[in-house]
Amino acid sequence: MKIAVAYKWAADPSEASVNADGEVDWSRAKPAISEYDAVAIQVARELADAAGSGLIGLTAGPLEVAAPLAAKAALSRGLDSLTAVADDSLAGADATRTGRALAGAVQRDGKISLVIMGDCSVDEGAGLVPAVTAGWLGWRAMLEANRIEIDGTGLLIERQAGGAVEKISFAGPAVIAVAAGAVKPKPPGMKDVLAAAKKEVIQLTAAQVGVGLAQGEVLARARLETPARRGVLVDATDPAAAVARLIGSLATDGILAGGPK
Amino acid sequence: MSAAVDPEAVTYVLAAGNPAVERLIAQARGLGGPVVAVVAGPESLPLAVASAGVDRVLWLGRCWTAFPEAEPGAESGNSTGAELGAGTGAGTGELGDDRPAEAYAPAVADLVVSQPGNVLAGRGPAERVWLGAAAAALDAPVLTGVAELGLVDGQVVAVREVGGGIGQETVAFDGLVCVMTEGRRPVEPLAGPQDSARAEVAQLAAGFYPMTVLQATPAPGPGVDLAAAKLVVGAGRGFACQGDLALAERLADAMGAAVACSRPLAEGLGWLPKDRYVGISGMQIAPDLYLAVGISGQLQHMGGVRGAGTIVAINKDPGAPIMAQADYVLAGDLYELLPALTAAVAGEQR
Ligand SMILES: Cc1cc2nc3c(=O)[nH]c(=O)nc-3n(C[C@H](O)[C@H](O)[C@H](O)COP(=O)(O)OP(=O)(O)OC[C@H]3O[C@@H](n4cnc5c(N)ncnc54)[C@H](O)[C@@H]3O)c2cc1C
Repeated sequence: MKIAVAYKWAADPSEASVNADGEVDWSRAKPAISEYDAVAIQVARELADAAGSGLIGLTAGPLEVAAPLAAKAALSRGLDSLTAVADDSLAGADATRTGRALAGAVQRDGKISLVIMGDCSVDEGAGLVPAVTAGWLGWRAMLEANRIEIDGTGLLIERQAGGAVEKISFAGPAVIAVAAGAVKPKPPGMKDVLAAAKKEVIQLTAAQVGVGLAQGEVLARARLETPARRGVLVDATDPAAAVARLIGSLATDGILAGGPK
Repeated sequence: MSAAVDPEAVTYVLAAGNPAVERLIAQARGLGGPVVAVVAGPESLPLAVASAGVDRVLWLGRCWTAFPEAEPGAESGNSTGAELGAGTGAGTGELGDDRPAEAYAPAVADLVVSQPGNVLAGRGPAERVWLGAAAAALDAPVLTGVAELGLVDGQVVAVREVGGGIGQETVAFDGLVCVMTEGRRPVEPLAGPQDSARAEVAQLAAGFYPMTVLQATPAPGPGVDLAAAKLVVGAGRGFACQGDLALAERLADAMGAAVACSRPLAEGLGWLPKDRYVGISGMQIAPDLYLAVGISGQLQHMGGVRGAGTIVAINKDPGAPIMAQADYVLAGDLYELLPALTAAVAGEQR
């Protein structure tokens, strides 16, 4: 079983800003390996080690995803090599096009039969790319896995969903998304960072993996105002007095029964 | 590329073992044509969905589901989360009750290709797998964070959030779209069956991947209906250990509130079940009061409580982001403030 792990080089939206016309400005937000993708890389590395397989990294996005800084950040987390679909036409790509790019990279490799991904990316947070990638490949997909075990030719997945912990088994090629808290990722050490510089990086264009054009025309943009909050400071030096004041205010607001004593 | 959307085209709403489709139906109605629910689950599930206000129900077959609502009054089997039969082979359990809903992804893909239509799904893991299969099969863009959806001059027009909720875009599409509705609200029980309004249910000879749910154990603890709670106490990483959550539970008991949490407490630490965390990837709630305790107020968390009437923050760091997003701010130690608050609330009630 040849194993790959996909990740996104993405910026944190809490560092983005929006101008008066509603255009989101990402220029001050620095991209990195998306938080939960580090979890996926570690899970995939452990699986690959257990299976005696190599681990291929996959990513898709604008050209910067294949730049040395970005590639090394991923390779130092334990990938053996990286295949990056790096094309500026993929900037801001939706899950359908990102999934097509990743599936195309998997198909070009021809030997990969298991792709691990993270729960969701920090910028979009939709958690759809694993499902769409599986759709493009015609593979099985399972999301929110807490544990993945390779069991002969099949997979054993454990996950928590809909209020139950489930153990699921199946054979065949698959895309598995790992739950956000499946493992606590270790930061790469000095040795890993040095080794990363020597690893192979394959760069592909969007056309090489059959990604179509972006769809949709933006008709209007607006800035979203979050409802203003009152921001009343309640002095908490004396806890008893503080909570009495809070309860009084909430009662006055009609939220809690009772009122000031 | 593709031609304008046929205003008579169907809109699919996906119910992968989860009968909560009302929010999807409301959005689907914005697109005009008939609304067709695509369902997997025990026999009672397509029947329940048929009464939810759709025009037609296509039943792909049985599957494992953890939602008790799927089988009202069921005495055994699924809803108790008992160990399932291992089946005679992967996915060939006689009735399909041990098949995960994800197994039907190829049937969903075939369906939307044979009769193209827009597709809407919720955020549950199986729903996302189906939606992904549909999006790839149709080569249709996937939309998230959609506040409004409509058909204007043969184009699908969506108003959606961008940049983590700081901006909004109105986008027009020439072809079909796949829409994921945000949030993972607790399952709202369906209104009782109204036979007069019940849509026709057709069974589809659906293909599926051989996959088996070997075992399912219910998550410990009673279910809590966060969406319905008027008062919610949210616990964050400011609690030093799981046992200390008793402070939040006691306060919640005294107030008649439900306890929610930030994501790390449910995923990673595993102190509370997954259906208790609030945020963009968890529950989106709108209680009258949200009391955030030891929560820093990251954008991903606050996205889940934007609709709260009043937000109170208790945090020992006056500079925590939550302090700028609350109505009442108590900068102090939760270990002092919570017991005092619990005592005061309990005192009020006497
Ligand atoms: C793609 C993505 C999606 C995410 N989705 C979600 C989501 O849906 N929901 C969610 O919640 N998070 C989500 N997160 C995680 C989110 O970014 C934050 O990491 C998380 O919300 C932080 O949880 P916290 O506030 O409990 O912990 P922290 O950020 O660690 O904050 C703990 C707070 O407790 C305070 N504190 C410590 N001790 C005390 C004390 N004794 N008394 C009072 N205060 C104290 C500290 O000052 C601090 O502000 C997501 C992240 C990503 C990348």
